[in-house]
Amino acid sequence: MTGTVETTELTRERIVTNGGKSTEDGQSPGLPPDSRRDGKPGWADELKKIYNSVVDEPLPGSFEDLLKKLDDADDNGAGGGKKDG
Amino acid sequence: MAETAITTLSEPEFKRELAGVLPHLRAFARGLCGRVDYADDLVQEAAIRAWRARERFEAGTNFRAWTFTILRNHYLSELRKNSRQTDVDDEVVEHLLVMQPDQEAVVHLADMESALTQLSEDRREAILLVGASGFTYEEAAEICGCAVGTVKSRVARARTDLARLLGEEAR
Repeated sequence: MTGTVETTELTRERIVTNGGKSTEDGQSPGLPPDSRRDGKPGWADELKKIYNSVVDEPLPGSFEDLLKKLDDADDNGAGGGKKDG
Repeated sequence: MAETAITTLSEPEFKRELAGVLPHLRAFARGLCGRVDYADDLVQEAAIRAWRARERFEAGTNFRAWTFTILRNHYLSELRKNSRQTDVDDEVVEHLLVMQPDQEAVVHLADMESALTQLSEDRREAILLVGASGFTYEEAAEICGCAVGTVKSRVARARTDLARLLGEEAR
């Protein structure tokens, strides 16, 4: 609970730091993405941005290979260490 | 065996689901361990484990949460085996930012990356699941195998930590 209060204050502080401009129509074209006014602190968006940048990366070829060889994974014990019954 | 009659996915269905969650598993793993290559190793192993356990996945339930649980448990068991994995050095953080074309964004993200690595394992996991992966508190609690209240307090503490870490760095 205390965390929420601190966070809100931090957000407000950041908005001011980021220029302190506010336009009449509520739109702020030049405003950086970390000075959002929806109550979320800027870093919450940054965290999502980091996460989503990985999600959006093209999948390395090794994963295609993995999907192809999954059928062998249970038979041959890919990753090793399977004993004979 | 006869008693657990759950509806499972067909193998092609399962594979399709698995392929669909791989990007999310990669993002979660990278957030957890902070290393590109190691994160992908974790995901590979988790995918194989998920595949082998496919008959225990009930069709219609949350596939993403199910695979995250497998990844998370695998990560933690590796961590226990190798406790020095918790330290993430600057080189790794630099690595994580390679894909960010916008230079200004890189500065912000670098702060976030280093702040993230300073969180405790529990809090980092909680804020990644709820704040980045978009799981509900309830889902995150299932993934972490703990009470919903525990997740809530970990997320709240992670938020306070991040606000403090990033607030200080901004000055």
